[in-house]
Amino acid sequence: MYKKPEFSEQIDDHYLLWFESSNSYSLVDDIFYKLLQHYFRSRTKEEFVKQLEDQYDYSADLSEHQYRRIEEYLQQFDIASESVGPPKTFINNRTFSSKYYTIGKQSVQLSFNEEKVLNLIHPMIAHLETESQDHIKLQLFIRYKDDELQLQKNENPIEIFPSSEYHKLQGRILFHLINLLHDTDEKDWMGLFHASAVSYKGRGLLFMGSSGSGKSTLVSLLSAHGFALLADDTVPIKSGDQHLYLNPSAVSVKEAALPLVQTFWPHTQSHTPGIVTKGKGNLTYIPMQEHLHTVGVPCSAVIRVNYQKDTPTQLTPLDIKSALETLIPESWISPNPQNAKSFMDWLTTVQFYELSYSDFQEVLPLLKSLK
Amino acid sequence: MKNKKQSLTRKEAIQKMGKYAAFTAIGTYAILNPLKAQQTSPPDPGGGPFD
Repeated sequence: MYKKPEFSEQIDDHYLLWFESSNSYSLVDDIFYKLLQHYFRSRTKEEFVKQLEDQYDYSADLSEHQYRRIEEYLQQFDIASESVGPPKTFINNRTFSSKYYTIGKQSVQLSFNEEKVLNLIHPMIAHLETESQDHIKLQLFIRYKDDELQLQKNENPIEIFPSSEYHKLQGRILFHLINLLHDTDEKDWMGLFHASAVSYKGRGLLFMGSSGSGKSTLVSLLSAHGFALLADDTVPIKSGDQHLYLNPSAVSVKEAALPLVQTFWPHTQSHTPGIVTKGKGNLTYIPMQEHLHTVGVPCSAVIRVNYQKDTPTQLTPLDIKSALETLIPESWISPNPQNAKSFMDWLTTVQFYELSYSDFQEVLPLLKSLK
Repeated sequence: MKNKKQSLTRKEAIQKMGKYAAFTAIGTYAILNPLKAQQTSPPDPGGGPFD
């Protein structure tokens, strides 16, 4: 017999379960949920089969099939926790170059062995660069060597990323900067959503969607029309108050969206070219936060964005299954049980929508009137 | 009338169909695994700065 999920929460006509050993979520319908309850109540397979036969008129064959199905299902969560971290080694940084940044009230030193490495990080935070080398709170050393990217934070052991997975290095560094800005550490966060977010009159709106769905373009335009940018691409959400917080990174604008975004963000001296990637073309980073606020805002709506040429503007409710299938697999959600519980509780407090649009001007009044 | 039929939720439909539905409906699930670590938008394969 396998272990029960640690938490379960009813959301609409589904149940959301969380399994601690693999940090997995599972969305099940009411029938599957009942079957699981029978499974956990039964001490043996025979007892389970008998329960199903008696209560649901299942045939013995179907009952046994369901038993196997449940065992196969639960087996997927029965993963031993990961082995110990990488060996404790440190970067020899004597020949490194450095740049300095101010994040809120704190200073950061970013040291690197190659320009290529700097180009991964600097465009995101170029607007925060400073000449001052005083009171450094966070030192980040990055080395590119043998197709690996190595990261060392202060005196901690290095973390290693394959160079093809440079987005993991970027995410890790961004997370260090978020923690520095908000005076937090990893355990304080419920998650880091792959989404973009703005606030309007003290309420947060979270936009999610696959790459190319137009999240960054939408928040760029909203930020020029009375909404305040909180975060582009990765949105931190705190465990305690379940509020959305600011991510200090500039907004990455893809080549195809730049002409439109530039009409509202025309001051090109603040634009920083990023790396060139296949598919996204040249990226341009544009800082759009007025100040680096450290006050969170409650999230009132999670909106899946779907930009399509010539499509009529529509904001419609989104079912929980589609919403979670978009949000969870692309986001980091804390494996800490308390934070996982917080995430599940939070899901019951927000409204999910789908926004289809082609004309941005039609979107504004819809979002402003969201309760 | 047609519209009314469509607006029946799955749950209501199952309740209406009673034991027959329980016999045929086997229950569905989806498994959703979050990312193991923080990251930015993943790049498209190939053509990156280190290729």
